[in-house]
Amino acid sequence: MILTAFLLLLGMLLLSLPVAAVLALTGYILSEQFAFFPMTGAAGELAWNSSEDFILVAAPMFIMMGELMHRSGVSGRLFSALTPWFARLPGRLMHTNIAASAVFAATSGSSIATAATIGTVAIPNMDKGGYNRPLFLGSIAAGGTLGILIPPSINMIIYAVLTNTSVADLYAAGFIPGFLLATLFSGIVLVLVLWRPHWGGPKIVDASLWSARLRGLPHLLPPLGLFTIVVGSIYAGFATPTEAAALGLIATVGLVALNGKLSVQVLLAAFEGTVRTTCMIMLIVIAAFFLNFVMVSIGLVSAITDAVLGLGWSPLWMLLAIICFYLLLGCFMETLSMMIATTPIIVPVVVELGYSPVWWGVVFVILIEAALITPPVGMNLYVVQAVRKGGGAFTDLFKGAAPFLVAMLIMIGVLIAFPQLALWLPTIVNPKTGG
Amino acid sequence: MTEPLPQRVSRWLAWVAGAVILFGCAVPITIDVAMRYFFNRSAVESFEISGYGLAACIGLGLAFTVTTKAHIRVDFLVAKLPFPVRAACDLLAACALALVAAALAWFAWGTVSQSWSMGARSMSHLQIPIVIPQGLWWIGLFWFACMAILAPVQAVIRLVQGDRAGFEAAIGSADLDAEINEAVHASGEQQ
Repeated sequence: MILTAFLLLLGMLLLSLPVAAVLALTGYILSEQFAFFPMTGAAGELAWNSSEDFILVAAPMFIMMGELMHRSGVSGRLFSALTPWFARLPGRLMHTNIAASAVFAATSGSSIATAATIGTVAIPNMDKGGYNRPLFLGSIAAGGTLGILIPPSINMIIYAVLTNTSVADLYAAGFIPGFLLATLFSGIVLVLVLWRPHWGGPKIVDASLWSARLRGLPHLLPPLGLFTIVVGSIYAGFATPTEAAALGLIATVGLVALNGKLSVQVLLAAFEGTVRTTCMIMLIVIAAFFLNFVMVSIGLVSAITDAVLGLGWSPLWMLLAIICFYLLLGCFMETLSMMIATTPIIVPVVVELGYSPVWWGVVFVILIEAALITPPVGMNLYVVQAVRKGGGAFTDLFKGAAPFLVAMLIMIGVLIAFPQLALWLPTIVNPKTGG
Repeated sequence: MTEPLPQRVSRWLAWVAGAVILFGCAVPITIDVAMRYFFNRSAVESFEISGYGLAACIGLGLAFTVTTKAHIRVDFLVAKLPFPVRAACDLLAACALALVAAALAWFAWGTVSQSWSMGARSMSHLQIPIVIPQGLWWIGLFWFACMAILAPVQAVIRLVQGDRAGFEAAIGSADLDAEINEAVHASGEQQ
């Protein structure tokens, strides 16, 4: 049974069938083969229930927020506001890339949008500043991935719905690792530039550094304000994550209007982008719910869990094996569909091994970030390469992303050694269910 | 260049679906949060309405994912194959999507007709007949199925006419470059 399911999934994926169709067809074939009664009767009801799920309502609103932010003109000013703060640090603008990504990530749930936005403002300065190109581009691609770890995160909402965990807990859990990872990225840049000083470009001497720093501060307000509205309202207790997404979206519309960028064209373009992404994701989610329903009904989930536990490996080894599996899979598969397709199978195993689903959610998201910067299918690499208008070898990006991949693996190691880094904040904000 | 009618209708529906998310989900929820904060009562039952909003958005927007080839495929292997094999895979993928879309519309119809025959109403004090949001959702799914079936048919017709580019445009691998250019273009405009 396990083998059939595995071969079906893998075979249809390699035939390049759409992921949603692969999941739905696998579910159908499994139910025909192994179920005592046809499961398709429940399909309509399942589709309706997942279509009107209140938690999932947050997803399109966060996507639309990102679509609008992307067009709002906020990011350019954010970038120039942050630049003087890192002027003295070896590696200068590369730290700005990471910091701007982290701040922008805090208002956007999408990694691709973050990389495209920051890349557009940063890359024109790359050759002017005399930076090492691979490292500079790598810092943008990697910084962009922070979008899905630092709340709000679209991936975490979908993970929460699929695994029945609390979005508020997951957001709280992602907070510290998110900023730690950003710091690690910066640390790696610092170490590399100290080791090879010419990678960081020549020093600039600017007497008016402090006035530039202070003058830029107001431009940090819009993104930080949005972050406060979206995340603050959840933990202040007057909004659920979905309600916070609604508040954030309305505030973003206001912000775009204040910047004088609100027009029918901008709105329609944002609508198109939002609907396209939302519906693509939701079709996979509906298919995954159906497959999950079939797998639980025919006992496949428990069979897999038993088989894995039957190997007799220690939980740590098993966990490492799962992590390696994802690192490998992440090279070849689009990240969100990889997450939705594998969550129903892997999470029960991880929980059975004794790990918290909230903690795994954070580790999982970092693995997804790694997938975004590993070739051949690493979306952020392509985005940054496309932003770089002058062209240049694509291999620059592999080289440049590698140090940041190491940072992600370190972060996962740290989380395995100190799970409290993720689990401490949820217990503070939500003593009942946290952790 | 004007879009062919089916594509244009799908795009209009996507606009409607996006507007539903903004005005049918975000606005009522914000009103409710504000009312709850200031007057300690909710005003517009946004919990229920926004769920219907999402369902309507999904239904109405799905056809647009077909016409813009938004569905994710693991196609890095297939992309390296010669055209005849690749075209066969593209066709198979399009047919698989059409099959799933048709099945979804079929099973969803079962759910809608059951709600109709039972006269089901929502549990809240709005007591909306469930067939209204479900019907809207279903109309979208039906259009999605039509578009998903139309795509491979159209592609085959073009292939028979010797129009390879047209075939690729209809159901070939998603154009990664176009997609990235779009993202880059949008962030470039803001400067």
